[in-house]
Amino acid sequence: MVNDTDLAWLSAVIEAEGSISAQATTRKKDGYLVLTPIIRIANNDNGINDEMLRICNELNVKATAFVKKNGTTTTRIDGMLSVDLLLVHIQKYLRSSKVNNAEAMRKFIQLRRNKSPGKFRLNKFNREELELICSIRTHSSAKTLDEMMQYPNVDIDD
Amino acid sequence: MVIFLRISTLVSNTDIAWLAGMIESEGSISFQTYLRKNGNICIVPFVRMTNTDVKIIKEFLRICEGINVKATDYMRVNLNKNIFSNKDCCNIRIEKMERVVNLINLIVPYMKSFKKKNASVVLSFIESRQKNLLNRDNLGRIIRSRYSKNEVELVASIRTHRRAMPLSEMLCAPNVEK
Repeated sequence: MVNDTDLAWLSAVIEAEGSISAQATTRKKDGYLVLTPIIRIANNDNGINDEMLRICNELNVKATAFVKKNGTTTTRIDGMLSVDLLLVHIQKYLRSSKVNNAEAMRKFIQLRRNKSPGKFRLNKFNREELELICSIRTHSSAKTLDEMMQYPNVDIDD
Repeated sequence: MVIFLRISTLVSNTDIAWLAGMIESEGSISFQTYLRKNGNICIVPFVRMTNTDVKIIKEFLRICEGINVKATDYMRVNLNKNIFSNKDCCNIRIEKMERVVNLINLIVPYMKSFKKKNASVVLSFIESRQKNLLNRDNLGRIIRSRYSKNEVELVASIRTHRRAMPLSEMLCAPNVEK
């Protein structure tokens, strides 16, 4: 059973050790842009990792944990459904600047869903969606908006 | 141990759980040890949290104020941003036995990591110190009692960093019972 304090605890761990973002990759077969919402938490404490997985399981959020060579465990929640479901539960407990990331991510997911439910991959990305993603991907090596706009599955006119 | 703690109505259980999660992720519960000029060892239990996010720092301080635990924050300004990190970071530190006990007692129920063990060790150390902190010498004067071997072993059990003062060195201090 998951209660409010569990969710508050999980949101603190995500704020401290995690990230709420989107993975941007190029699909090999057609050169399309693929944007995958992710929540990722890296930690090497088994107690924290087990508790995170327990909470995710109880919430029916699919979470995958994998151990890196250096012994650090990364717990990853990806995909629109899982990320959105988890954000719905923890968003009100977030207090850091990741609140903005969570809001942008939920808005992005909402926009994608509104287009054509169940056929996310077939729709092109539009400028608004990419701007939302770029607003939370601030790393120097992250793909820029201009780069993303060049992909064939991005609708420039929209 | 009797705790006199006034908790503000503005602090909820979820705030405490959030605080516990933050300390488990970005914080530490441990002891600071240093040697005085006369060779005596000084052991200070503390809870510390470090972060660069101003909102997290403010929220942490708000909750500490709400539970009536005084926390000290100090900024570590990064003068050369290209070498170490891009952001200035802030350390929040809670020390003194009473404050540490009050804080730990509140957050322990929500802790899940190995730091829960650290918290129980710190509590055991403080309880032991508070029982035997002051004694009288042969002339009836109040003196601060020495650290017992058991107390020092407790401290060494959670200070596992390779640069931490080893147990053997701590036991050599004149204010540790032989």
